[in-house]
Amino acid sequence: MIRAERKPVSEIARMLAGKKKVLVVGCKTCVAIGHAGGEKEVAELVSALRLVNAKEGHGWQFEQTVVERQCEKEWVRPIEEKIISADAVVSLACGLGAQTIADMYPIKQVYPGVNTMFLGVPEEQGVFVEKCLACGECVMFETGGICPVARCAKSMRNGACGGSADGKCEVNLETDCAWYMIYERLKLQGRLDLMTKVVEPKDWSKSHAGGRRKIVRKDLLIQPTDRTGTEVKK
Amino acid sequence: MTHVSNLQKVMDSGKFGVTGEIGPPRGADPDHIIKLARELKGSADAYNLTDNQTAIVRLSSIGSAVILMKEGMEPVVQMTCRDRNRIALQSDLLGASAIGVRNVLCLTGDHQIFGNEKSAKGVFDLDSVSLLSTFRNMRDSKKQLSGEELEAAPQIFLGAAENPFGTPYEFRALRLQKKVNAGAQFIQTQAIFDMDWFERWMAEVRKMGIHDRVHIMGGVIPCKSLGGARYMKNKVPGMKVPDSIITRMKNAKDKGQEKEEGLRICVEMIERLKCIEGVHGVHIMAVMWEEMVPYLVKEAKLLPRPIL
Amino acid sequence: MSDKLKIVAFVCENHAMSAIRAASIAGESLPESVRIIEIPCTGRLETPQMLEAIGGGADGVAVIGCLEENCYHDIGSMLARGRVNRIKDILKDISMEPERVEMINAASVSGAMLMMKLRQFESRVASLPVLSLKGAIQ
Repeated sequence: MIRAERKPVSEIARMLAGKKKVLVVGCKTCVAIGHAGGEKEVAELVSALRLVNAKEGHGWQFEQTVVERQCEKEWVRPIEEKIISADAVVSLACGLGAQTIADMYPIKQVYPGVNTMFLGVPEEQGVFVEKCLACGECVMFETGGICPVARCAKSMRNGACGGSADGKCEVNLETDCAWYMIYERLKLQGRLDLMTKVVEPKDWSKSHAGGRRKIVRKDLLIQPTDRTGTEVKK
Repeated sequence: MTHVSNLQKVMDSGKFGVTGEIGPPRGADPDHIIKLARELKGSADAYNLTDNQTAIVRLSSIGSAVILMKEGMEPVVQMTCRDRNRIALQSDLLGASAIGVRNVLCLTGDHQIFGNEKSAKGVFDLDSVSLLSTFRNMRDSKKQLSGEELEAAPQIFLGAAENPFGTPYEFRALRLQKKVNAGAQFIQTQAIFDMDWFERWMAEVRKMGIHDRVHIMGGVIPCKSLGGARYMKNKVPGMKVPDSIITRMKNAKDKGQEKEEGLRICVEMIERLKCIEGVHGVHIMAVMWEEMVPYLVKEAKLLPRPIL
Repeated sequence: MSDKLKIVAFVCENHAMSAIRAASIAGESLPESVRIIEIPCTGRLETPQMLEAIGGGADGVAVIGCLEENCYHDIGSMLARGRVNRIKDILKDISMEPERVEMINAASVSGAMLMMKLRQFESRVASLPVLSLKGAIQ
């Protein structure tokens, strides 16, 4: 899921200079599971900011809360009063949640309390690893189920490069070379033929490089039609 | 068969080819290249001009090529996929061909983390294999990658690099075949210190019949010092330096003869390369020691270079 | 605000409390500055509680739990250590002394050892500049 890292308390404290009523809002989904922005982390941040407040005398008054999914307006609306009465809102949700509040209440100053990092899996307790880049055109069926876009530092389609040493990536010797892993996986599956063909370059226009992306699901739209069956704009 | 470059002509005619390498300076002054060019002239059939090697900002490869050609020498322009997308790469090939460059080496490129602009966005729109096939199609089908027709095709002798010492080991000969299928006409390998390993790799390459389809040039680097040898052994990903080399350099250091031993080892490597079936040339990367190339080529009895 | 040193000790009710009782039976009493808060397991302690203790007037916070290899609740004191380190990082980040918070592990029979470690912690905290927090924390 979406992985985020807590910003240093001092950085958040600097953002709040001159503010009085501070609302800290967490999210119960991705960031809670990743121990970065759930109820516990909200409590920790507020306690830490209270210490800063006591030390430096900013006069901050804190409100804290957490919503189910900060990226969906329905879950944000119930805390509208708290948002409106605050001078500053610190969101511990990922960039999606923080921007949802910011877009719904454009007059409010919304500050990010975390750095949204990547789409990743938990390898073990406390260790999260990036595995997907949301590139818009999944090709992992050709690479034995290992994504070459996210897991190869050069996003190669015809790997491995010459810097693969002892199965490790030249960029970070602790990282496994994705193409070494792909080779071993395809060997295991008896599909080494996939490694020998010349693969075309990726269509980057489907990724973020092509601009902000949008999915419109016609089958899900609530769109009334007139008697002729033509869709009518509401 | 038409030859577009001297390097191609030499190797196509069955003669053992020699390429040198010049690392462009970290500044805008052409004198460094001019000086080296004059020292190296006549010692190789063509000279590689590296492209921001290890992601360190240097005078561009194409810029360096212009300077080299003014000295009457033949360049091999190197192009990596790290700094340019498919638009710039194709454009640069047209530009290189237009100004007279006839040899291009297609590389994926060292990651930007190694260089002196670590915050740079690495492009990697293409990789070395798709770069080869893109350039080959521009030349042979007069079409750019998207399929649109070009007004005039570039004329180029296409090369690539291969590292017999990188993982996955079993895959390296296959990867070479892939590059040849994509359009590679000559290959320069990563520097060889473990000649036994290289010979085993060449045996595999011959078994697959690749050696008949491409000109393989074995790479060599003369060690300037024990420290240099150790650095290559321990710090360069994908290089294999056997302990025997380290021992020789250490013994030489004790006798105050590091440089001599380093050059001797390099000449031995070249002599062995000349005897391996399927090896059609040597690529000498005398890093920070380019002035030794004429000496090495002479000692390996590869002078004078043929004029065809 | 009194100028007497205040140490808050979160003590697990298992091996840590046993160690304290063992020490008191042997005639060793807790340092005067130390106030004990007994908890089921140090693994239950969360970071806000440690921060609030400092904000509420404590000059130092000790978290006393079982030896990690012998924790009554398996990984409790190990989890606590991670959180104590987190508090140290936060304190450093906001320009306060990370030495104000410490993890201490005790075997149930080693009362004397625990008292010694506590006294060492107390003197370390005493040597730090006096905490002057302008606003009291609710």
